[in-house]
Amino acid sequence: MGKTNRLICLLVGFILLYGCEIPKKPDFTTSHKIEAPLLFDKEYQFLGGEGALLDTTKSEFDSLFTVLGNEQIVISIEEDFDFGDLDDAIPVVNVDPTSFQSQVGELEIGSFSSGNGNLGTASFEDLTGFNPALIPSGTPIVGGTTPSPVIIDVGNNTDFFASATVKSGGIEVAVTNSLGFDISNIGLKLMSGSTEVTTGNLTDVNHGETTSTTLGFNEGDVLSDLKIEVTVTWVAQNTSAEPGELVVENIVGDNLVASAVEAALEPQDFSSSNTSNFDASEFDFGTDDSYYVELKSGDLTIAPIQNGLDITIENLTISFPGIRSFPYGEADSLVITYSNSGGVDERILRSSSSVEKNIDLSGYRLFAPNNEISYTISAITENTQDAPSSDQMRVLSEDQEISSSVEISNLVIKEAFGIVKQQNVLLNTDEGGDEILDIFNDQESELTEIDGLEDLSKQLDGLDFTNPRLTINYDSNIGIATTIYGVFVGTNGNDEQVFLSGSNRDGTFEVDPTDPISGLHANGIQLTADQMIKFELEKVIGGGTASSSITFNKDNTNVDEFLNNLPSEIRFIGKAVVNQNEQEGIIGDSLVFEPMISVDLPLTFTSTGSTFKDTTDQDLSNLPSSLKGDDSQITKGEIVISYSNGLPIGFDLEINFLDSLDNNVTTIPLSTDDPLNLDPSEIDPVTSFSSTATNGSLIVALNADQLKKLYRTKKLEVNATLITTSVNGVNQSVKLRSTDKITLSVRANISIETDVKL
Amino acid sequence: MNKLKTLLTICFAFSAALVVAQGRHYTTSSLGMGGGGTAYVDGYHANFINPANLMFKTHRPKRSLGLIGGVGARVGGTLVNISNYNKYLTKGLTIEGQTRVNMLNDFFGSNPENTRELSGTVNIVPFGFSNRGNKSAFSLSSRVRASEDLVINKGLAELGFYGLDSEKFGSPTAVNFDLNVVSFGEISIGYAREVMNFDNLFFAKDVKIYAGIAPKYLIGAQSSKMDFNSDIKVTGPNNINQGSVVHNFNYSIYSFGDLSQQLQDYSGARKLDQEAKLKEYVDYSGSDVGTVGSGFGLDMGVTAEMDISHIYIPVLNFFGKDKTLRLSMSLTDLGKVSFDDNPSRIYADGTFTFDGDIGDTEIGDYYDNLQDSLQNDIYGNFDSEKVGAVDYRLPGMYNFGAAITAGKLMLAIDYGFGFNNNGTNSKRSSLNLGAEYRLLGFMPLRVGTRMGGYSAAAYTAGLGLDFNYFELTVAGSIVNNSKENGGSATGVWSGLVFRF
Repeated sequence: MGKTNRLICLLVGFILLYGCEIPKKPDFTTSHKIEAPLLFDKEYQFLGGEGALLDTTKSEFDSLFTVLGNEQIVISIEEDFDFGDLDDAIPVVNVDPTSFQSQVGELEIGSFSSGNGNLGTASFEDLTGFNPALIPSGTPIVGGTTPSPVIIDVGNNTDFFASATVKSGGIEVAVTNSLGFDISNIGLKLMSGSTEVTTGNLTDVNHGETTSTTLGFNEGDVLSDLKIEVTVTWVAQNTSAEPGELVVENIVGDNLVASAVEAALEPQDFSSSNTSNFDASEFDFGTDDSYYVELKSGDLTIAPIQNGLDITIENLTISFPGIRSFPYGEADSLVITYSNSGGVDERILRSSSSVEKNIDLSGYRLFAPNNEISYTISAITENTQDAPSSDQMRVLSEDQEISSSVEISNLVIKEAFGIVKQQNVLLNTDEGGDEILDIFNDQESELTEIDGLEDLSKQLDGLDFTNPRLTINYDSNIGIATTIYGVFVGTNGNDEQVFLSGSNRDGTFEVDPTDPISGLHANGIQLTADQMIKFELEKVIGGGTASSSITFNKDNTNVDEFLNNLPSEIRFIGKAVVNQNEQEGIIGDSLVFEPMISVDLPLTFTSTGSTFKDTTDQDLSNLPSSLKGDDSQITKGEIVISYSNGLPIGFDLEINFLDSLDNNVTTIPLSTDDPLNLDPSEIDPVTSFSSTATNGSLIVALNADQLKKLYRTKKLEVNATLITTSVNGVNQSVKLRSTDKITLSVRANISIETDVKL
Repeated sequence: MNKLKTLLTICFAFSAALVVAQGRHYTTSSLGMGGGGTAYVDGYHANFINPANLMFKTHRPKRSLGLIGGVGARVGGTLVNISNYNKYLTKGLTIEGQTRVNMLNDFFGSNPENTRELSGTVNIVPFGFSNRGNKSAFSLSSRVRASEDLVINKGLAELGFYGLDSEKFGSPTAVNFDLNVVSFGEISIGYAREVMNFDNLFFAKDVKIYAGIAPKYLIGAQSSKMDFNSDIKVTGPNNINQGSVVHNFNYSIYSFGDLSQQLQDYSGARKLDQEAKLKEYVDYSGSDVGTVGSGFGLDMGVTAEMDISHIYIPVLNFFGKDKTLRLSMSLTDLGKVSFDDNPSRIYADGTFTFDGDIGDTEIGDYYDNLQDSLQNDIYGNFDSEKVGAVDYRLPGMYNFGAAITAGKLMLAIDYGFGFNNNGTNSKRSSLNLGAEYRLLGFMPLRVGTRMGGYSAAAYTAGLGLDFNYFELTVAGSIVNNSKENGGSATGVWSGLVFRF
């Protein structure tokens, strides 16, 4: 009984516990529906600030678009081209350095003595043989002749003269008759030592008169230890005074020129001329004396002048008649002087040398007809007769000289007027100095990146801009004809390249194969003429810098093809040919050529199926899916888009969901689905602007199978086919205004099922 | 015997009529025996059920010491509807269509205004000590309690199971919830003594009357109370717009201490700067736990212990001729905790309309900022005001219990009702029946049931080892049928109890 009761109690207890509610493991699925408006009547203006389809405040677009007065949009890009300068086209002028020697040349001898009269005398008795004591005044004498010539040693009294080798001329000898009677003839014989050199006569020399005569020399006569042998002839007469002497009063040179001399010399002047030649390879002065080169800088150097004379050059000038300072008249020519003036003693002492002289030629103009520049050296020696008597006598010969050299160097042209020889100048840095520019050498090519277009070009394909333009705006001061041969290549975001070419258009910018285009390469291969353009720079008349521009349009170049490629990178190489025809002109010291490239793409275009492609990272791995073991999964996903499209562009959308390896996960719409079309607005047939917005809606729906796979998505690739408004089946050229807009309303309808299980 | 039967009959009828639950303290023995314990829980646990029981000589040692001397957790309420849960949420059903309608009706009823409650309480007795003398006993015990009350309405459940469905929420639908969280500690000192004894009294012999009282100091740890009311309407697309989701809402939150100050600071900052962010002001570290409130409480009771061995009781006599009957009555958890450290109330009244009209904002920015905007500009755009101290009344109860011991068997019955509905307390009365059989004398096997209170009728069981000098037992409870009045689940571990 006891056991039975206990068993009953336990059984009751077990039944009670068994009857308790024990929560079981959860096993159910929730089904949630989310219906939410994501966007309502959101307006997206085509162009504007934040919120616009193209946000022009973003860095890549902030300078890309401009809006014209009628609100039409122009993709406008202006980029500086950082060319090297064209200074290589400035001609270089060089002058050959020249040396000069200036000989003292013929020596003039003047005074032979420092005193007046009585270089020597001959006595009455010696000349007549009479005893003067016997012949007082009034005494008649018979006619006669000096019995034996009387020698007067004048050399003892010519203190200014020692010797000379005569080249020409003679000496003038003055004689005074103090003999007391009249002389009908005085015979003079000049003796050099014991050698007769020359003779002469004086006639009818009355008592008390002084008369002179010139004794001429022959070249080569040597004068030294001068003596004069005198013979007189008289007729019978009564003496008129007491007997006296015949006096040699003076000897002076009469155009006496010597080739060598030892004497106390009066100042000797001598001069010479010389020329220096210009290199005419880059600039030709021609024969026109109005052509010039004005120097920005330059040096004229005169080396120390060596004085090979035993006499000081008291004054020396070197004149450059072709080197002139402002106002550039002949009187403004450059004259360089060595003298003792202004407290500065620049005399060139005998047997010595001067200081070197350097002249800054800045601002000077060089006139050099026949490409020669001449100069004259003029010198005056000292007067040694004024020197102390012990230092008066100098030995000179005519071949003794002064010498030096003239160098005109470092010439930098500020302005040149004349004939500039043709200059070929590379506009880019020439790596290696091989005179070859390669468009794809980053070190040589001028590279301009256009960020905004890169994004567009990567995403847009096939859009046909109707009237694109590329303009080169430049500042220049070049006054002579200059032709630019340029290579522009534009590369878009897909690495597609188009060369700008002037070929097959109206010829304005066409390059002929014979033009000097060598050295412009692409990847080591010479580019052809049809891959280039050429254009002339506007000559600047009257100096200064002027702005000009050159516009490439689809009539004169293939700029439509070039720009419709939407280049995100434009490369340029080029060369300038300056004064190709070598005509007279002015060229400055700095050739300014500062170009800017300006691209204008008016958003006027036609599209029958251009594509816009954009891929963005979009990690959808958080989306639930049963395929990855999630408890939740989306069973319905639907996005309803209502639109009012005021853009004259329609879109046919395709969205690819890509995994991390760019494999397609799924695509909407599927081929069996309705296309996702967003129709363009209507357009005004006259202005081509949008006129009336088009309303519509589209549904982006994914089926359950697609939704399961969405979690693998890492990227979204949106492909939009752009279609401009069609009229009668023909896609029109449309214009976009900045104010064109599209209004969108978006709603999401999503169902999510979540399994709850343990 | 007839009187006893009559008494038991009355008690059952009474409890069946009142329906109910309570927040009575649980031990492994009381929970295993239906959740009562007024007439048999002794030792330091008696402080929280009936301090008079400190005088019980259930175990020979006079002293008991508990280290982590009891850990219990209980969850229940009308929302804990295990019956409906098993019916709808365990069978692989997809909760949609009519199934969804039926399920929500079964959980909440058909009236959309209906609410359901989820309550939870955690009790921990970190330390307890009792000492029993011949004429008196005392104890010192501590307890930490945390309880929460969550009340949601049917609309909130519908939002959870439907989502933003314009068909369901085409008209404004109330979506409400209340949440009340409180935690506090207690330090209780109990004292009991024998106040009377009778050699013979009515049918009993050697009747002893014990009385006990246990005043306690209450330490408010933290508290928060939130009341959120709203209605939501989801409109589908039409010719004019893309539809909308409109949420009208108002709420208030009471908070204290540092958290209160941080919320006030944020509210003040927003008045000066609309860009102020909630997360920049609210960073509650919990460093003020235990300092935000205080109070006093009291537990007290009386127990009559009598020998009825001389009375033949069928079945019971089979378990032993020596029979002891204990009749007890107690009042527990009288008192309140007053949260008075910087109390404040924040409140908001607004509307969130989500209609896709993002104005001039770029769509990416709008949705990137939406969460922040909701947090700071919509739902976080509140005002604050200082309030007076907020009192949390303890889950006070009246308890009556009887226990009869015959040899190794003990049968017990308890009746009680709460004075409030805080936590798992309930004004609905509850009846607890339980039995314990001590297999081999040290292995108690316990079963019981509870009817009424905060959930539907529950069955309980417990077992373990209970020596004179050491106890290690566990117990648990679960409802029988939660369909009508909700379910509950409770688990208790005795901790380490030493007697000496």
